[in-house]
Amino acid sequence: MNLTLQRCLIHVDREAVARCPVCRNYFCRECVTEHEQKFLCSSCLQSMAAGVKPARRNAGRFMLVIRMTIGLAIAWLFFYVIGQLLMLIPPNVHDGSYLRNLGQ
Amino acid sequence: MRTDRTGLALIEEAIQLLRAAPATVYALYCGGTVPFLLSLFNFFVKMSYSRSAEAECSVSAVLVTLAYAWAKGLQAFCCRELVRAYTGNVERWWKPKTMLAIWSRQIAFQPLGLFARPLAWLLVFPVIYVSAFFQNLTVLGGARQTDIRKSWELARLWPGQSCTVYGLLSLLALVVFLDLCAITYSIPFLLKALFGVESFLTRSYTWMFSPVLIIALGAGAHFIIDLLAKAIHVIRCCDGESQTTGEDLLRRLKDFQNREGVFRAP
Repeated sequence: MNLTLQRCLIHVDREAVARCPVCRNYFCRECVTEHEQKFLCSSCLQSMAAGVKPARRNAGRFMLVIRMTIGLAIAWLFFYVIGQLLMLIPPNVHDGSYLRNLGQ
Repeated sequence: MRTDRTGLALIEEAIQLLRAAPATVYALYCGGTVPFLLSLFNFFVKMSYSRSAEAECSVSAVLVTLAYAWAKGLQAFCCRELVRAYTGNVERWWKPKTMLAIWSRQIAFQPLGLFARPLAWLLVFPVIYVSAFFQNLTVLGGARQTDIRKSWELARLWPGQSCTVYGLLSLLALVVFLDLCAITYSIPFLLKALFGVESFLTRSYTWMFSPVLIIALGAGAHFIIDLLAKAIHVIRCCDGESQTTGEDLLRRLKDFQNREGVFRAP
């Protein structure tokens, strides 16, 4: 989409000069701020600056440990099911003797 | 960023990337994948031939799970190295904190793919998105909070290109599988023809149809193609991210600036 045809989301009478890479809305020069080589709108910049608070970080770590445990349990279940399925295959299929029987 | 690239051109670029990649990429990939493949093969053999398979199943599954977790971590590091080779980015993933963050996220999310991928294959349509999501997650590492969402967003980019790539990769995987079968099946007969080595493998052909051998060869073919698939997703992820960051332009500008004499004063 052509940037020159866009208007600022906040100041509709002004031409847009940048598109916020986070919210994807168009803004005029006054409404964007440069942050780490990117032009962000004020609301996205605020939410970025708020960052992750320590309490949330601890909760995040706890959640990650739980997710890891669940992940490992899912992987174990997958391989366990594969093992059970392999055990269901009759022994004459594993050693190929069923092919000899078919030939007779 | 190149959005006009065809699937075939992307595969060619990925092969070029793998050719130019440092030995670390291969070392990390093999260091993770080979132990996992060996433990998987050992597990298959135990479950198929061992008399105590029933009793050993749960413990053996734990060992394979640990090998899987090891492989997924190292594959993510391998992808970080591929990203470095592709972009020239000097982001340090080998800091213990970053490594731990990547590893833990891989362990937490990648096992979902073990069930999601076969389900997606059954439903056919979403397979490109589901597979691309888990590959993107390996490429991005998952150390940042936004990586999961970003993996899904990048998986939905350029679906036509994705379809072509997955079609061609599936065909290539079939060819590699047939090659592996041909090599494995011919070795005992070559040994007999060249050195006169007679074994039970040359007396009967029935071992060729063993489910364990066929599954193991299939897994081998998958992991040979998987490195190429990872290189393809590294390129797709970097190009996709450049849409919002403009990193590809900054890279090109830096290359331009580094060229001798371009900005030299007259």
